[in-house]
Parts: sequence; C-alpha cells; structure tokens
Amino acid sequence: MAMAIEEAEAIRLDRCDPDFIREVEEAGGLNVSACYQCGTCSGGCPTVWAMDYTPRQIIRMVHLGMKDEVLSSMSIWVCSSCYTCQTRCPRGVHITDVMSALKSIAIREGRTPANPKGPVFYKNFVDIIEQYGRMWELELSLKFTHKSEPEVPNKLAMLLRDAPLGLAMFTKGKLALAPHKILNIDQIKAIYENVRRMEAEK
Amino acid sequence: MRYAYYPGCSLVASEKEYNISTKAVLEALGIEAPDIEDWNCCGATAGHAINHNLSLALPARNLALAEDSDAQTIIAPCSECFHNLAGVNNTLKGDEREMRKVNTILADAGLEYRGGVEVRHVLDVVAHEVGYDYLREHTVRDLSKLRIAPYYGCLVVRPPDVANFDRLENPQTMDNIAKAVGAQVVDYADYKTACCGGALILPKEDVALKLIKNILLGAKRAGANCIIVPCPMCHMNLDAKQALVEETFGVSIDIPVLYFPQLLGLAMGLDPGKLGLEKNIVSPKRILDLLGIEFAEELSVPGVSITLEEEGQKKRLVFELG
Ligand code: SF4
Ligand code: SF4
Repeated sequence: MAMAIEEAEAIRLDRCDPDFIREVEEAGGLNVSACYQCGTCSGGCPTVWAMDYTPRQIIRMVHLGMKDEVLSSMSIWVCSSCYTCQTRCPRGVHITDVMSALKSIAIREGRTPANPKGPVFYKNFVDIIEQYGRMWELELSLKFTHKSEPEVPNKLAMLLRDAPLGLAMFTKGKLALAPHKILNIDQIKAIYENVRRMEAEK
Repeated sequence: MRYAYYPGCSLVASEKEYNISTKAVLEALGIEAPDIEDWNCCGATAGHAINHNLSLALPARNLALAEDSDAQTIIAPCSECFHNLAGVNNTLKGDEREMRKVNTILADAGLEYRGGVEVRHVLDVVAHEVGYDYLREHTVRDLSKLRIAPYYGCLVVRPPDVANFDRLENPQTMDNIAKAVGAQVVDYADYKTACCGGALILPKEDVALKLIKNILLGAKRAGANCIIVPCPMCHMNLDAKQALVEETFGVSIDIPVLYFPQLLGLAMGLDPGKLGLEKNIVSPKRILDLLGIEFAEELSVPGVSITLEEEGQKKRLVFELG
C-alpha cells in the first residue's frame, strides 16, 4: 500500500549539512562516499538489533549531511568497534572508523547522546591515561558508576551485584588499589597538549 | 629477531594471568622479549572515540620507544593493543603526511618514530615463528580429554589490512595449536569470530551481555569443556562476566576460559602455578582434575594471606596481614 507523502518521515535537505561528510572523513572515517548502499554492513553487524539506524543508514545519512540525526542516534554508542562491517564492505568504506569518528564529533560538540554512559566512559578513559600514562581500572569503574548515576536505577543494588566479582578480583591480586604512573609522564602531557593545540588550530 | 614485549594495561592488572602465562611460555620456547621500557596505554577503543590524532600518537610513542631500544618486532598479546599498535604502524609507514603530523606531536616529548619496527600478535608469533610441529614435539602432557572451543574474537582477524595472519571468517591458528598439543577441537564456527562486545560491557552492558551469552552457549552446545582466547577483553567478558550472564539469562554455562598460552604451558609440562591458573575467575580445577594435574586453588594478595573456611553451607574468607 502506498504511503502518503505526509505520513512518511521526510528527509529535510534544507536542514542538512553538506560539509558533514568532510568532517567525518577528517576525523578518521575514510571512503564514506564510495558506499553503494548494498547493506552488507548491516547484515553482519552483531549489535544492529540494538540500533535505531542500521550502519548502512548511518552511512547514507552521513552522505546527505543529516548531522543532527546521526549525532543523536543510539547506533553510534552501540557500535562495539568489531570491524565486521569494515572487513566485509565491498567498497572499502571504513565504517567502523566512521562510527568512531561520529563518537568523537558528538563528544567534541557536547551533543546530548542517546546513551549518556558512552561519552562518560570514553572521556574518563582518556583522562586517566593523561594522568598516569596507563589505565587504572579501579578509578575508571568508580568514576563511571558515579558519573553515570542517573542512568543506574539502583546504584546500591548494582554495587552489591558486582561485589562478589570485585572481591574475587581482589583476592586473586587482580585489582590494582593504586595507579601505576609511568616515569616520563611529561611526555604524555606534551602529547595531549599538542593534540589539543592541533584541534584548536583547525 | 630482536623482540620487544608490549604487555598493555590489562595484562599488568585485571588480566595478569595472561601476562604470567605468556611470559612463561615465551621463556620455555626460548623467545627473549624484554618489556618496552616505560610503555604507555595504547588508548584502547577510547582513543578512537575521543580524537583521531590522539589515537595515532599514543601508540606511536610506544613504537618510537621500541625503535630506540633497537627492537625489530613488538610482540603484543592483547588484541586491542595489537590492533592499535599495528594499525598506527601501517598508517604511519604508508602515509608521509600522517607520519609528519604524528612526529610533530611527539617532538615536544623528545621522541621521533622513523617506521623501523613491525608489530605482531603473540598468537601469530607462536603459530608461525615457533610453528605447530615444534609445539607437537614439545608436548609432554596428555590433553586428549579437553574439548576446546577456540574463541578468536574480533581484532586478531579484523580488519584484514591490520590483522592478516589468519583466515578472516574461519580462523585456524588456535585450532591448530590446540590440535598440535593433542586436545580435541569442537566445531562452532559461527561463534569463533563473533563479537563479545569488548569494552561495551561498561557503557552498554545489556547489549554486551547478550553477545557474550550467545558465544558461551554456542561453545556449550558444541560440547566444549574449555574455551581458549587470545585477548584480555574477550577473557574478561567470557570468564569474569560468565556468572553475570548465567544470572541474567537463567542459563548454566560453567566452562573454564583459558588463555591459549595457559593451555600451551600445560601441554609443555609447566606447573599450573607458573601459568597464573589460580587467577582465572571460573575455576579451571575441573579440567585440571580431568587431566590429572594437581592444582591448589590458593588465593593470593601480596602481604595478605587469605584462606577460605567452610562450615557446612557457610563459607568464610579469612584475611591475615603480614
Ligand atoms: S557494506 Fe559498504 S557499500 Fe555496502 S552499504 Fe555498507 S558501507 Fe555501503
Ligand atoms: S564495527 Fe560497529 S557497526 Fe560495524 S559491524 Fe561492528 S558493531 Fe556493527
């Protein structure tokens, strides 16, 4: 049955950003324009069932410049970076890298994400590396549970649920109670500074 | 070949048993690979999600350090670290502009990378440098009662321009290693390279748990009594999160998940204590019993002695300092 035009969700080209595709490619998502919409990426994606737009749709939306829709989608935060799509794409589209690029643009622009835990997790992760040069899992999980609190309906229940595993990790000597800071942490700081400077110069 | 070893953050913390067993097995195989001195985190998936240049520069510092130490090849046991180090290495070697940009970022850290090292996953080194024949000849224990499900995960096989040492959709290296040491291998091809969710277990737990459940059930249905893995992230999900999967979905799994060097070490006659087997969350005792290998499930924290006391139904952990 034909659907009336008014009922269909129309793509508002007047609200699209034609420069978006370039922005995505600059952020590391190469070959977006080579996509011919075959859907192979969506067919093999292990998390497509939890996405609001399939990977194929995300790529098309990037083509069209539907920046707002893409950056507020759940899809980009559900992508696990498994590289199945990128590996199978017959056109060499770097789909996984596009998904990462979209995450980084959404975080940089402070977009309200469909999964608030996503940006909190990734930001904390790189902040911890800046401090110590290495990951400190305890700080990551504590900060994470704390900062993403509104998302967790019952924080106490969550902590109790995870307590036996935490205890097992501790008794097996797998829980570092203090961070390990690398000797030349200044080098890491210099790297972060330069990356920030380059970002600002863009 | 002059090797350098890049453990990565998980291997010195929550997934120590991978580091312990890999080092023990490399030593037994006569492969010398000193740690890259003062190595830093590769950025994992977070680097990519935050900033493209950061995701290039963090691994590049390690490449530069290895190059300065005169190493030719970096051995990385973690699939994520391997992916980042090898991927960035490819990008920099293949693109002068990117190389120049990254060296500008590294310059203030007093470092420069000139493209002089290669990066290989420890699975690749064991399978292709040591070889299956050598492993077969050096197997001293009978492992024929093990029915193994080799779980490869994502980043040792994908993307093929970075990970190119095994078959994409039906990889064989761990299958061949398990067979070489006399274990059985179960057929569950659909799940060998299915994604476990990786780091998604924190920001999107519900999605990751479902993926983990499918893999574990796939292995169970295929009749496996042991899973082997080459990645700390996969191990965390399949081993440490196994109880949560059972609870969440009301299923029973109960399969020990070993790192492939733990299996190799057992085959080569190493003591379970040298392979960190007491640190696995799902106890491997059952399969060690099956193999007739003595195994004390002792709990250890440096400076603290911990004993498990049992009184009928009640269990009590006793901590003693000193
Ligand atoms: S597999 Fe590649 S070409 Fe096919 S729809 Fe996906 S991105 Fe486009
Ligand atoms: S990388 Fe992301 S989008 Fe691609 S198949 Fe994996 S989960 Fe799906």
